[in-house]
This record gives sequence, C-alpha cells and structure tokens, in this order.
Amino acid sequence: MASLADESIIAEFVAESREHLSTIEPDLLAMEELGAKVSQEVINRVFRAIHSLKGGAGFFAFESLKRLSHTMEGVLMLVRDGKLHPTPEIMDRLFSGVDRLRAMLDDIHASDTVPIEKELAALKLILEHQGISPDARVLARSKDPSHPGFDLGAEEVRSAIKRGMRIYHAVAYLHRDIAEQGLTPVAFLNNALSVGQCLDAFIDIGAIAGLEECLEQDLPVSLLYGSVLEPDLASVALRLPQNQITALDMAQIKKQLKATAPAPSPAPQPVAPVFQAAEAAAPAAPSEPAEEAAPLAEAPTARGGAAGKDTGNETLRVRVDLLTGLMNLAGELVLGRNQLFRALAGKNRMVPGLGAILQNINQVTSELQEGIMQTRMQPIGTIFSRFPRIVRDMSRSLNKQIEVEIKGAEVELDKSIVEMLADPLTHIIRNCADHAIEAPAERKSVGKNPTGRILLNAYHEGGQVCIAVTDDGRGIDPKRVLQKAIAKKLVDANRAAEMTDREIVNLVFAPGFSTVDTVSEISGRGVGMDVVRTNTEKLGGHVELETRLGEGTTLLLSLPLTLAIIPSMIVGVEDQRYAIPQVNVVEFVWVRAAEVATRIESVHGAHVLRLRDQLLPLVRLADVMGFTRTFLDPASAERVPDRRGSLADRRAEAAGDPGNRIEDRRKDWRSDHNIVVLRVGSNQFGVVVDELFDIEEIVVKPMSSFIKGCRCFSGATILGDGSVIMILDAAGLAHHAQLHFADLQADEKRRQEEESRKAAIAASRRRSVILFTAAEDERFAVPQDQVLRLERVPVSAIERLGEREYMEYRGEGLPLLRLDQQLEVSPIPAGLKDVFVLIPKITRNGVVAKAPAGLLISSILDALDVDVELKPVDVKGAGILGSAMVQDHLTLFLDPGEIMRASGTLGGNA
Amino acid sequence: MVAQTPGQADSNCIRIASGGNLVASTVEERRKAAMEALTVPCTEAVLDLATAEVVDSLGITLILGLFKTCQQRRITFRVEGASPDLMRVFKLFSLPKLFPIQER
Repeated sequence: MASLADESIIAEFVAESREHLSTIEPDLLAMEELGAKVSQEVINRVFRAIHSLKGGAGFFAFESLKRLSHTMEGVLMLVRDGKLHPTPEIMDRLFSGVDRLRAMLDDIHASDTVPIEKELAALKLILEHQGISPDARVLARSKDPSHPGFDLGAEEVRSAIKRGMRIYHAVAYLHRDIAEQGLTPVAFLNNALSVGQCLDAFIDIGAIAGLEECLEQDLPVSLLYGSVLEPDLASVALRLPQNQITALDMAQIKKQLKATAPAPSPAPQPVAPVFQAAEAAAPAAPSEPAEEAAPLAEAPTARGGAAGKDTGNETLRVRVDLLTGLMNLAGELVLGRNQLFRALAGKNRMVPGLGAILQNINQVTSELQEGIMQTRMQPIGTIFSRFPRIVRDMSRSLNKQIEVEIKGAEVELDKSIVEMLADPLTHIIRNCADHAIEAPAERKSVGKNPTGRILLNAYHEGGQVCIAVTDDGRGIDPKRVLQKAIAKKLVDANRAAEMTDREIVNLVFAPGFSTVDTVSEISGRGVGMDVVRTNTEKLGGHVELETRLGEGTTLLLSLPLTLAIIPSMIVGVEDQRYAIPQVNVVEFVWVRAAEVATRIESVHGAHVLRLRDQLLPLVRLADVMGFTRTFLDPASAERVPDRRGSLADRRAEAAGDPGNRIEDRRKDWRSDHNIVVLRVGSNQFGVVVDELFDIEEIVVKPMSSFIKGCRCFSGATILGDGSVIMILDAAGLAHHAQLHFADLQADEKRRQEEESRKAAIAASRRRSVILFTAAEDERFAVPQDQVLRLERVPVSAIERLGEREYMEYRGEGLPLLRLDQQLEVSPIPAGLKDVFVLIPKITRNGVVAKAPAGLLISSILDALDVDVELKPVDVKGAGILGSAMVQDHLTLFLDPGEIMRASGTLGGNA
Repeated sequence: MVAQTPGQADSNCIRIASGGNLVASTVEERRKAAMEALTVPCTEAVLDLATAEVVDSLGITLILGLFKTCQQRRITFRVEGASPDLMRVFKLFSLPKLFPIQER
C-alpha cells in the first residue's frame, strides 16, 4: 500500500496505533491483577484499541498486523464475554502480542516480515481450547462473498470525521470510468488517494456471468471515500460523473456512531451495517445502527488516555514537526519583540500611541508563545505508564514481588524533555527492580513486606519539575561502593579516606561504575547511572541521590519545564555578556569592597563567601572564561590588568607606602563584588561577575557542534540588541571550577565545632566575680551568679550558740560559717566593728531556695569581670575551684554552695 | 492463459498461467485459454500471475470471471504469484475476501 497510500496517513495510523498500545498497557496490567474481577470498562478499552488497530491494518493491507490483532481480539472477546479469565498465562500471551504489534509498528512497511507465528500459535491455542477456530470470524463477517459490503471499523470512520472529511459513496465502473479514461486500476486509486482517503472498496460481482461473457460486462467498484472536498469537487477529483458520487449524511453518521453505545460489548464491528444500505445504484443514508461501535466520547485521546472526555471536535492531532516549527517561530517573534523594544526604548513620547501599541505587541507575543509552548507539553504519565509493565516483566523473571505506584502523572513537561527522560528513567527503574528490591525471602527475614515498592512521583517545585523515584529496597552501602570504586580505579585510596558518605554514594554516577558482580540481561553493565546523570544534565536538570542502608533509596531528578524559552539573568564580565537561567539563580549578593576582607575567605586555596553562617564557594566568571581580569584604575579612569590573585586580598594596607596613590583601591566602591548565587541540586555556589543587567526571556538556540563539549554552556541566545551570547550551565560551571561542596561542608562543620569548643573554653575563663578578703592579704573570689546577697553586719549583731554563730535574717536565725573553719586559710582579724555576710544563691530544681547559711568575710574589694585560667592549689578544703592572679594578687576562687554542702548546712544536693 | 501439463501438478488441480500481463490487448486470448483449461475435470484451479506485472480493468474482470466460473462449477479457486503492486490493488478491491491470493 505504500506506493498508493499517502505516507502521512500511514504515519498517522502508526502514531495512533502506538498510542493505543501504550494506553492499554495499564489496562492489561489491571486485567492481570484483578483477574475475573476486572471491570468491563477496562476490557472494552483494550478491545477497542486492538480492534481499531486491526481495522487500520486491514485498510492499509498490513497483513501480519491485521492477523495478530485479529487473533488477540478473539481472545479478548472471550475475556469480555466471561468465558475466559485473564490469568497471568493468558495475559503473558496478550502482552507478547502487544510487544509484537509494537515491533511491527516500528517499521510498518516491513511489518509483514516480522515473525508472528509464535505469538499467533500461543493465542490460537487459547481460542482452540475454547472450541473456537481462530480464522472463522474473518469469514463469518462476509455474509455473502459476492456482496462483501464495506468492512471497516467505526474507528476509521471517526478518524476521517475527526480530520474534517466528508464521506462519499462512489461507484466507478472498471471499463467506463477506468479503462476508457486511459487509467489502470492502480492509477485510478492513486488519483483517488491523492485527494482523500479510500476507507474501503469492493467489486460487486453478484451480476457477473462467468468466463464466457465476463469481458462484456462493466463491473462496478464501490468506494467508501473520505475527503475534505465538496461533492462537486470530489466528482472532478475522482474523475467520476456526479451521479455516481453520493455524499453520505454526516449528521446521521455521527449520530449513529454516538448512538451505538459500546456496552456491554464493543465487538469487532465493521461499519458495514451502517453503510450497507448504501447500495451502489442509489447510495443512501445509513439505515441501521452499528451494533457495537465504541462511542466517540470514550475513544482514547493523546492527552487524556482512556479516561479522556474529548469529543472529536475538541482535540486535533498535529504533527510534532509542525509544532516545533511554530515553537521556533514563536522564539523568533520573542526575539523580534525584544529587539523592537530595545530599538524604540525612550521614543514612546515621540510617536503618539506607540506605548500602547508596544504593550499590545508585548502581551500578544507572550500569550502566543505561552500557548504554543503549551501545545508541546506532555504529561509525564506518558513515560510513567510504561514502567508498571517493565517492572511486571522483571518481577516475574527475577522471582520478586514488586509494586509500582505512580503519583503526579498529570505533571506536564515539554515533549522533548519527556522523550529524553525515557532512557534515564528506564535505567533507574531497572536498577530499582534488579538491585535495590530484595527477594521476598530476604525482605521477610529483615522484617519487611515481601512485596517491594517503587514509587514514581512527579511534582512542581521552585519552577522546576521534580521526579522522585523511591524504592524500599536495601539501600546503597557506602563501604561496598567505595570498595568497588577503588577496585575499578575510579578513586584512589588517599582520596577515598577523605570522602564523605554522600560523596561515596554519588560515585554510582561515575562512568563504568557497578556494584554487581555479574552482568545480567537486565542490568549490571555499569552504564545506567552515568546515562541518568548525563541525560538529565543535558536537559538542564540535575540528579540527587538519597539512600539509607536497609531502608531504600530515592533518586531525585529536577528538570526545567521547557528548553525553548526561559527567563534568564543577563550578567556581564569583562565586556562580555552571559545568560544564567533564572531557575538556577537563588539570590544576588553585593559585597562592598570594604567588606571583602571580612566576608570572603580562603579555604583550601579556594574563595568562599560567608553568607548567613554558611560558606559559599565562589567562582570568578572571568577566570572560568579565561579572560585577563581588569579593574578600573581610580587614578587614570582606565581599565588596567588586575594582578591580584585573591579576592580576599589581606595584604597590609599601603597607607604608609610612599607609592600609594590617593587611597587603597581595595576600598574603592568600584571594587565592590557582584555575586550571583546559583543552585545546583542541594548545593549552592557564587559566581563573581562584573555587572548585573536585567532578567530577559531568552530563546534557547542549540550550540554549534564545535563547542558542544564545553560543559560551561548549555546553549546560546540572541539578545534584543541582536548580539549573540552564551547561556551558562550552572552544573557545568561548578564542575569546571572543581568545586568540592562536601569538603566545604565538612570544613564548615569542623570550624563550627572548633568555634563552639573555643567559646565553651572562653566562657569558662570569663566570669564575673566578687573579690573579697577574710584575713588581710588573702584574697578570695566567688562567681557573682552564685551570690544572692551581701549584707554588712555589725559584729555585735552576731550571736553565738555553742560553737555556732547566727544572725537574724528576714526574721529568722541564719547560721554563719567562717572560711577558716572550712578551709586552710587565715581567720578574720579581731577588733572589726563590721563584717560582711555573703549569702549564697542556692537553687533547687531551678528555683532559688532559702539560703541555709551565710559566709562571714571581712571586706569586699571589687566586683569585676575577669578572664583567667584557674590553676590547682594545694590549699585543702571543699569548694575551692582553683587559683588565678587577679589584679596582681593570687586569688582563691571558691564555690560557696560546695562550701555549704561540705559544712553540712546544705543537706541534700543543691 | 496456459494450462500446465499433467504431472506437474496434482491431478485434481490445474494451474493456469497468465502468460504475461492481463491487459486489454491480451485478455480475450487468455480468456479462451482459461476456458479450455477448465474443460479438464478438477477440484482446484490456480491462476499463476508470476509473469504478470500489469493487470488492467479488463484483466481484473477476467480474473473475476474465472473465479465466478470456478464457483459455479464448485472448483476451489486461488491466485498465486501476484506481484506486491498487484497484491495491493487486489486488497484494495477486497478480492482476498473472495478467494485466496498468494503474493509472489
């Protein structure tokens, strides 16, 4: 048929058929899972898809395709009628059939060379078991071979109607209309197909005599013909008299197609009954409804799948290259708009109304671009839907039990991204099923559900689409990864010793890495994860891996929504401009020249910016691009080469240098730094640029093959002023600059720990104390926070009771202690009129308790903050913290609470 | 058309070779040959199109006439050796629904 039919119609048939097959795969899985409980709706959907494929195959004369789909249809009919339960064995055969149909569609013109005998035999066996002759139905549909009638499915009619075609019944006589016109039948059909679609045709041989008189007869060929042409033009195009062409009543056809509800059985129903009334001599409107044709509303659609609600008028199949062309034109329009705005900037007042015109152009351009981009968006579910089948097949071959759960299938991405995701996601899923999920027995032994689980989840986050693939398998063992990496010389032992677990686990993305010892049919060749990372980064996305040993692994792919038109920040360095996709930009940081020395540091020879207690590695864009850095000389106002190697120039200021000009340029405002903070996965880094311009919507142009290897760039674009600039790739920049985020994080952690330790030591050294004496020349100190009160007391107010002394304090007798009674120190000199009583602060359960006693001292010297390191002393007694020199005197530091406790006045623990 | 000699085929089957294209200029001659071939009692007739590259309207009519005659005489009829292009035309005209056609 290839030489006759329009290739574009065949291509459309192939595309539709592929879509049918991918749409029914989840339904086939549901049939297998639910067995006899599966709903009729699910079976009907599968049935209609296979039947539709068969109809198309029959029309285009793809015989193998037709035979196989016909036989599958027979099996599905038995399932639908409840005569057969969809057991795994039966579903295996149907799945094999679907695979073979798909293989035939891959090269439709060679489809008849694809071997189908094995699949056919397996399916026929099912039919024969049910007492059905697999080939009987084809013949059964031809009630009278002499009057075969039209034989095509309702889908073909719908397809033609969807494309806006009218349907004609045409009669061409072999002799009068073909031979006498100087045409061969081939030429006649070629001509017909050039302006329409031949839905079906047959020669009515009911009246033919036999060999004796046959050549005197002019046999009529009946055509069911679809074309967008009006009846009069169709007549001209087919080179047939108008009275031999009858336009069928489209309203009636549509009505009947809709009225012919599928339930309970959308059996393989040719449209023949619909058109049977259209007799050759007097074609008429269809008189009988098709018994089992599927309603239009339930026909699977490109966007909505089986559950779609589209009617023929709401969707239209459009070629991808046409959309791509429109997308490119929209891109050019955006560029044109940008250039127009740039050219007319500031001239609004010169031309009345120009501002409103520009605004209108701006709005329409944006909406047009958005609309066209929308047409290229596809739900990620188109890729996700293939994985349950893959996992199902793998589970069976690996003797594992694995469930697949899909979330966010409706999340949309540009078609090109969706297509490029197919390989990485397949690798990930295969790895999950093959390596990550354990065998049921192993899972049971560690207390897990014997059925493993893989969750595919797509969602929007931060202007990107995130795709998380999570399994509850064994996780990735960093030790094992490291062993393999060292064995494969992906990392040397010295480097290995310094690596964090996170870095080690990320070695799985290294080219050639694999932890499995044997290469299986499924995976284990060590190419998968490398492909995952490479493909994702090619799309402007990135991959992150989180794993917990024994619990599972999550791979997170973050991707841009589209690759075509993206908002970007335009930055400048050394008179060159670059675009940075806004999705990578976290924030801008302006570091004043005067702050550079305090905010920018050097760690392992690399510059880092201290930003909100985090260390942010810095990359100088000029260095990455290989430019000679310059600076504006404040004295000469000219740009001169910048010879400073370090951003954080900590050389001594040149104030005393006689050669110093005007002032140190390190403090000049022209030496301020503009830093664009970029995000790559969970890591961030800063790019030092000279200038920040504006955010523009840029049209991404592919890079020339000569510079495709430059990982710093992801593409090129044209700015409003017509200049071509490169688009920076954040991940590529980080890679080029050899940033080691993990090192920095570890360093920062170590630094923070060290600072905490030093702060703790400093806190122990620095204290507020009260200095006092008991005996002359013997100095003591107690921490202020351990003192409740200091009371001056006349010696006469101290009362003695046996060996003990008391004073009245708040209406009660307060026992008093003398230091010399507790420690080996001198007593308070006699003859003093007044002494002081130090009442310690005793807390119980965080509450200040009643003081059990007071400490008698002779005088208070000072209350001050000291920064001292206490040293041990040889003075005996409890409550001595140590000694230190304070105000050039040796001072004994005391813990009054401990003294109270040792004296027995405190009782229990304070 | 040329009937093959006995012994080359099953005794119950006659093979009728098209002897070239089946077009307006040749159909009458081929029709007579076919009629003559069918005078031999048989249960099956095979039309061999191995040497036919072009079959025009009259050629198709002739094939259908042959089929009809066989049908009337309860002779199983089939076609063999159809070129791919001819096969496509036959399929478009739904001839395989009438009798088996084997592609070359």
